[in-house]
Amino acid sequence: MAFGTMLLQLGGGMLVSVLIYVSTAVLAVPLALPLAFARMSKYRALRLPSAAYISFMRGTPLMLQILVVYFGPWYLLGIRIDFSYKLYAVIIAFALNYAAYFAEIYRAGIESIPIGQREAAQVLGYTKAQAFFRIVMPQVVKRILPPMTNEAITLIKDTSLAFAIGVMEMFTYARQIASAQKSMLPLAAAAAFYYIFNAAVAWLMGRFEKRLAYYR
Amino acid sequence: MQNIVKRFGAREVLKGVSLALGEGEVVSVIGPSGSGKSTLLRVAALLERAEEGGLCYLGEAAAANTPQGARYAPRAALRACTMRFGMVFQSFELFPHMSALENLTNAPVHVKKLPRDEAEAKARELLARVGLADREGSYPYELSGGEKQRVCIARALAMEPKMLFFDEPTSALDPESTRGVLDIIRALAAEGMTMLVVTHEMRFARAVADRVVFLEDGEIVEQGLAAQVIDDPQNPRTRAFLTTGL
Repeated sequence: MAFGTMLLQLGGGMLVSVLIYVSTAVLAVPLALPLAFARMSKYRALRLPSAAYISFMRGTPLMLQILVVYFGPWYLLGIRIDFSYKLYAVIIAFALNYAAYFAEIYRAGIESIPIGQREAAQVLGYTKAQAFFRIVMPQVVKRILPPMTNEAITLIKDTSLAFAIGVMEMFTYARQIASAQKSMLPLAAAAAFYYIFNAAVAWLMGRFEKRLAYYR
Repeated sequence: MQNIVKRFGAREVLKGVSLALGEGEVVSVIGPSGSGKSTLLRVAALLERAEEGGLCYLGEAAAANTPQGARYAPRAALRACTMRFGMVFQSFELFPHMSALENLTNAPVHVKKLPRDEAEAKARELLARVGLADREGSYPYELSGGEKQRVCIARALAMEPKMLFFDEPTSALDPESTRGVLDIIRALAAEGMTMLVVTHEMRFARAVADRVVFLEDGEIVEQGLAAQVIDDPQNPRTRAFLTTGL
C-alpha cells in the first residue's frame, strides 16, 4: 500500500475521532452542570440518584458502557438496531461517561468558592441565578481549567475505544493497516496524530488560562 | 427586630433579642466572642433564618412574629427588604474577577437595571469619596486590606441602601487601615446614615455610636448611650468585659 493511501485512510479515521471528540465535549460540558447541581442538592431525591449515576459511570469501563448503549435497545427493549446508530451510540456513551467526570470537577470548583461570595451577592440583591452566573461561575471556570485540560487530553485518547462496536475511527484503521502491511508505520502515524492533537489542546487551554490570569 | 431566637441545632445562640434602629441612629453591638453578635447581624441581613421572632425594614416586613415561630415572607418581599440595607463583611468579599469599578457597578447595572454610564459615574463618585479615585482599574488582589474594605463600603453604598450593617469591619485590618475605615464610617454617621456596627473598637463605638448594646450569651445584657455604657457600665458582666485587657 502506498504511503499516500495509508495517510488518506488514517485521515478519514481522524475525522471520525475528531467528530467523537467534539460531539462529546459539546454534549458533556453542559450536561454535567445539572448533574453537579443535583449532586450538591439539599434534597436526597436529587442528590442520591446523581451520586449513584456518577459512581456507576466512573466505576465501570467506558468500553462496557459503549456496548450497553449500542446493544441495550435490542437486548432490553427489542428495538432493531440500525447500522447508522453505531456512531451515535459511541457519542452518547462518551457524553454520558464524561459528564460524570465533569460534574465532579464542577462540584469541586463550585464548592471551592467561599460561601461569603454568594452572601455578598445576596445582600446586594442578586437573585440566586444571577449570583451563580455573574459571581460564582466566572471564578469556577478559572479554577477548573487545569483538571478540565486533563480530561480534554484523555478524551481524544479514549476515542480509540469506539472500535469495540466497529466504528472506524483513526486507531482502528491504524491497527488494520499495521497488521495487513506488517509495519509499525501506521502506529507511529497514529501516535503522531494523538500527540499533535493533544499538544494543540494543551496550548489552547494554556491560552485560555492566561486570559483568565488577570486576577487572582 | 423583635424577640429573635436563633438556634443552631440544640444550641440557642440568640435568646429573644429585640433591637430597633431609629432613623440616622448608629448602634454599636459589643460583647465577647461567641456572644451571638455576628449571628445577630446575619439574621438582620437575612443571611440566617431565625426560628422565632419578627423582622421589619422601614415598614416592609421580612418575618412575622407568630406563636408558631418566625414566618418569613415570600422571596420577592425578602428581596425588597434586602434592597433597603447594605452590608460590609469582616472578610470584605469583594468579587475578585472584577475591578474596583466593576465591583461597584455590577449590582446597580444587573440588579437595579441602571444604565451603565450612570452606574459608572456614581461608582467613580463613591470611589473618590472613600479616597480611591485612582484605583478604579485595580483588582481586589492588588488592593491592601484597608483599601478592600473601603471599596466594600462603597460597593454597599452604590445600591443606595437606607441602612448599613457592619460585621466587625476592622478586625482584619492593621491600626492605620482601621483608622481610614473608621473615618469613613464616622463621615457616614455625620451624614445621617442609619448603621448597625458589630465591633471590638470600644473607642470608636464610644465616639461614633449613639447607642451601645452589650450582648452576652445571646441576650442583651445592657444598652444605653455609648458613653454611659462604656464609661460607666451598670451590669457586672458588662463591667467585667470592658475592664479585661483594656
